[in-house]
Amino acid sequence: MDSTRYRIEKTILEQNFSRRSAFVDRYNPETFSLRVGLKCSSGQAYQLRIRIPPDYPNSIPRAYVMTPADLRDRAGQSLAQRSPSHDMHLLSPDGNQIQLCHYKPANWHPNVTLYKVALKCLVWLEAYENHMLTGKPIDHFLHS
Amino acid sequence: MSTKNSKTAALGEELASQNAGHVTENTLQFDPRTGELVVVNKQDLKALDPDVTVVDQIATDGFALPH
Repeated sequence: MDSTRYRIEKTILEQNFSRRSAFVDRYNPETFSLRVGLKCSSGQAYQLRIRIPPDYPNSIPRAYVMTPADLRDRAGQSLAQRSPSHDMHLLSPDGNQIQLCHYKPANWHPNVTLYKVALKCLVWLEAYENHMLTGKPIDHFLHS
Repeated sequence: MSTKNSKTAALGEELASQNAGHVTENTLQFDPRTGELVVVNKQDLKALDPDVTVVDQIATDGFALPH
């Protein structure tokens, strides 16, 4: 990510996720990521790691849930073990960190910011909490 | 149902309705002051709050599926 884009991303994040987001390893292309804390309407907090690829924003970042670790579905099965999953909108995990589906490649555009990726992840998390309430798959709540 | 659960359920109902293609009387907003998504009745929107982000489009433009 070039310095101009970095400043833009940082400004938007500070406006909307003040004290809840931080870039990590900015100068290491292998590990450069955004850590963001998201809070659902239930009060449950989640810590996400959004892995920023070297050619960002031309390619899509990957979003993983760091904590709570090893999230489960309503039946008690590990979501990491269920991944990848169409009905739960999950891509391949990184260990026990599940990877959330967010932007479709067809809808990705370099103008999409990390702030919007984080918002999309927050929508996923609200859908997950509704899965835990109702037992309905996340696909019931999210458009494909 | 607790208040927290009712807020979560209201969000779920709105997401499911929008996912089904229904035009609803509500809008989803992210309020950076609370850090939460909220369901707001469009009739209750007196004026667009410059601090909030309307999430409807972000929520309905599709989520990726694994290949």
